Amino acid sequence: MDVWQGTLALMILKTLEALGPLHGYGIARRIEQTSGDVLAVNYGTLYPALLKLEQEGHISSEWGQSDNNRKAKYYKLTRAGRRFLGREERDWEQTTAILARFLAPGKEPA
Amino acid sequence: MRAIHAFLQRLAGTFQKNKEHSFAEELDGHVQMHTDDNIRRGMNAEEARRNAVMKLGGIEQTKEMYHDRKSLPLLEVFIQDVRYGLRMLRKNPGFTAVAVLSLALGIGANTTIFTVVNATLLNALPVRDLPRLVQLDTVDSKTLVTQARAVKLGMSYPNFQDYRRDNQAFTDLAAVFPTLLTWSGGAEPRQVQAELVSANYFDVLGLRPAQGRFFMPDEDTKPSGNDVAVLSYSFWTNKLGSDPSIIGKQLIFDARPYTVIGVAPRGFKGTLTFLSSEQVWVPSSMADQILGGKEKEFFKDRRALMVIAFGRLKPGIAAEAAEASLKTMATHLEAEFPKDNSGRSVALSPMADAALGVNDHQRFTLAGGVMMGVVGLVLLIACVNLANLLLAQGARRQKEITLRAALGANRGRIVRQMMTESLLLSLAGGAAGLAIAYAGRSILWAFRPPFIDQTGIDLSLDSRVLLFTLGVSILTGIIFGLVPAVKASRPDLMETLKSGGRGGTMGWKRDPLRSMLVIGEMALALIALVGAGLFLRSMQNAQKIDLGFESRNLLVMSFDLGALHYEEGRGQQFYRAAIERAKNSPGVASASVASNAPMGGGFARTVFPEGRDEASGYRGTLTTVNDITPEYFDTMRIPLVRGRAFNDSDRKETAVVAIASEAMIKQYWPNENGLGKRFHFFGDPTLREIVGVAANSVVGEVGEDPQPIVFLPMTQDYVPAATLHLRTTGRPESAAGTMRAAFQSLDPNLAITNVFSIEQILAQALWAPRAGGVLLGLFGALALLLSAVGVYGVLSYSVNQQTREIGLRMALGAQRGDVMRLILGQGLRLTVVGLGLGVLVALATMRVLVSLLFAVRAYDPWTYAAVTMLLTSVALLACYIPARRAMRVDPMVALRYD
Repeated sequence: MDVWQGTLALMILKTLEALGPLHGYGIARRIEQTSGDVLAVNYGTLYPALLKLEQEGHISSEWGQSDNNRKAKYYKLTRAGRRFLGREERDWEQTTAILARFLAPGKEPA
Repeated sequence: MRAIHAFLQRLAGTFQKNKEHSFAEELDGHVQMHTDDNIRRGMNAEEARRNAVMKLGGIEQTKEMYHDRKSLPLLEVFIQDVRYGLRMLRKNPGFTAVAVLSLALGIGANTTIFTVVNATLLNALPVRDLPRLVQLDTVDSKTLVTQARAVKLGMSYPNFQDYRRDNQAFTDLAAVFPTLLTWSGGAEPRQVQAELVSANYFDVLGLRPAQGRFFMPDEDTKPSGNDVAVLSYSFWTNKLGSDPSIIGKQLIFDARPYTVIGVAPRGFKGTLTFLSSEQVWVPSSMADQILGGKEKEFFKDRRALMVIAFGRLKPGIAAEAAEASLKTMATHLEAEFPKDNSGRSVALSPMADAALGVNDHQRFTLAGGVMMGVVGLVLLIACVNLANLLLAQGARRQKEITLRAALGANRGRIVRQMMTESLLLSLAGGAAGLAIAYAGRSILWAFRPPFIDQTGIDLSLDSRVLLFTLGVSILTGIIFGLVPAVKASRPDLMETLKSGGRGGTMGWKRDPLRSMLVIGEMALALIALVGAGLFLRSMQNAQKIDLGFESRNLLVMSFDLGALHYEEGRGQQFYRAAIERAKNSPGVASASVASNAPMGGGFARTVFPEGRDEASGYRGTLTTVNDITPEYFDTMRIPLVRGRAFNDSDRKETAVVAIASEAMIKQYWPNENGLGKRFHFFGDPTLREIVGVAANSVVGEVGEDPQPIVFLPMTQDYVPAATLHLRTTGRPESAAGTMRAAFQSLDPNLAITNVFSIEQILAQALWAPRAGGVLLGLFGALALLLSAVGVYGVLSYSVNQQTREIGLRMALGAQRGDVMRLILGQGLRLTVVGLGLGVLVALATMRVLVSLLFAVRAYDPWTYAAVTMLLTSVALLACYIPARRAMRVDPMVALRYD
């Protein structure tokens, strides 16, 4: 569950970086789309994750109006969040590179 | 960083409610938007919404997940438990009050005693790195010592100097000689506690001056210019008003000006706990100027054990290794100075222990331990009561708990909630106990021994004490709340729901736990009361001990002519004049002067009977010497068993005479009458002839074995510091004023100290058994009360539970009397088992107290019998009330009513 929460947080941040300020429903739809509908996530799990990110100061929230004039809370990246995202992206890239080498042993490193 | 920020947010979230509302709106919006999208994709309204909610994972579930993240669930549950617990406690005010009060008494007593223990035993000396400081004492294998505990005897100054110069184990050694100086700065001359110290004294202790500086190394050795003094912080604040420009000022001590060079740090008052906090330190090079009489003569003597020596161990060297190396040095010194050091070696003690008196600290530690043990027992009894109360409560609430369990509450939750209640009780008890301790300190302080009077022992409730109280409260709540909580949380479901929790077998088999608790209580109460009883008996015995002199209507006043530099002739004249004035004062029947105050010990020398000396290997005995004027035995009303008292014809030019105590004659010339026998002191060839034998009298301690005493005529063995003894016809205090005036007229610069009636001196000597008896009696009574409450509670509850059975029996023909007997029998059975257990434990443990008791055996049968009877009658009384209630049960009502 913890690993999942970590990746979910990253996906949220990345989504906000790409699409700008967005409400919870929108983020959920976008994550589902981007992951190719492989991750059929319970949309509800998003909200605790969003709250955690807000408590940690990576995102901030603001009430606004959606396209069909529904009241919705919009989330956006903070500067600290942007920095955090950058660091995490680099870490993930490193991790996957190392893993790739382990899982395909016969290959020469490039 | 982020984690801390998040944590704080969650903490705040625990106490806020508004976010929930806002989130509900957000969820609502989410579902709306999803529904809209679904409709756009072709679903009908109802299907669209259902799909949206499903995809969400359920609205309530999402709200719960959100809630768990928004707040700190653990904290929330805890707050819930606390609220519920408080509500429960409020609903049962009687139960709450009894529990809190019992705990308050128990915890309060413990905190009070701990405050004293903390101040005297634990907070020993405010110096740097105390564990590395040790005291060096001489142990003498050749000289006999008649007082059992006088094992470690100080050190001689020349030996100290040699140890200091040649040792390898210490960074440095220092020496201290406590004495008294007359300070003529205030309204009238007064004596102040002073210490002659080696120049490195403060350095070895690792202290920094609060003002000015400490001694220079050469202030100990250079021939002059050493009349400098360091003041204690208390002296500076109390007597000199914290004069900011004190450094460099001159104060007059013993009629000589001393320049104040420094003030010691706050809270430091030398290395002896029981000395006054107002002190002055001067370099040991001033010994010749300050000391008089024998002290001056023997200060640099290699044999006379005048100083207290201590040192700081080198880093990495253990005390045992240091002691071994010093013992080796001691054998060299023995070889080098065979006459003075024969049979002498060195022993080390930790400074923290030596602060209480190197031969006495064990007794203080024991006394402290006994006190803590007894109040610990009291607390234990209170805790047992608490446990019983909680068990009863748990049983009473069986229905409620069973219901909760049946509805799905897990056991852990129930246990936790009940433990929260017991913790609340114990914390409340702890807080109330702290208040009791605060008040109790003043009461305890009233019991302090007189010699602690001005020592400035700090009985504040410092952080250590508070921590102790908190710790005790929490432990109590947890330990004694756990078992009742666990028991209550595991109800026999069917049984409880069926019979409402009131059926079952009779007697104590149904509730072995509570019965065992009562048995335990009785045992504990017995142990506490036996301890108290032994001390009370000891107190009685101590008051009745024959001191050897008449211990009423006696007044003493001490003074030091050496402080004013009287030489011998003038001093002898002063004594005669003082005695004359005294005899002519109204209310004074007789007066005399002696070097030793009653029960104050005194200078001791090794005695060799004629024909033996140190060279022959004979073991001389360390004997107290009292220099007296001829009226002494008359004033003190000590009978002369044989021979004569001193008189005016015993002068410096005439034959050297002495009077010995019976014990001394028995020691050296057993079965002889002693008159005409002669002896000499170590290092002094003068043979003294015994012309009289006095009945034994107390030298240092009430209850000691009869001590050998040598009485010498003041005219033949002059000392400048002495005590005037007055036998009064009326109350001693009334003669004090006249005598003070008389002294004033003889010499206004003389400081008069230690003006005491013999009752006051006895109060000081007997403080231990008295205070012990009273305090332990108090705590014993407390223990009695609490266990009576406990017995009553258990039996009362038991009667409640047995109402149906009682009704049944009565319906079947039992008389009221039978029922009463039945219930009483139940109670008595518990009591007897408990008392039996208590007696066994007491017999095993009371031995420990023997060293603190006067002429009372640890197995004293009267005490055990009295306590057992007392407890039995109290228990009977406690059982009586519930038994009466049982008697009054109406069988019709009992059988019908569930």
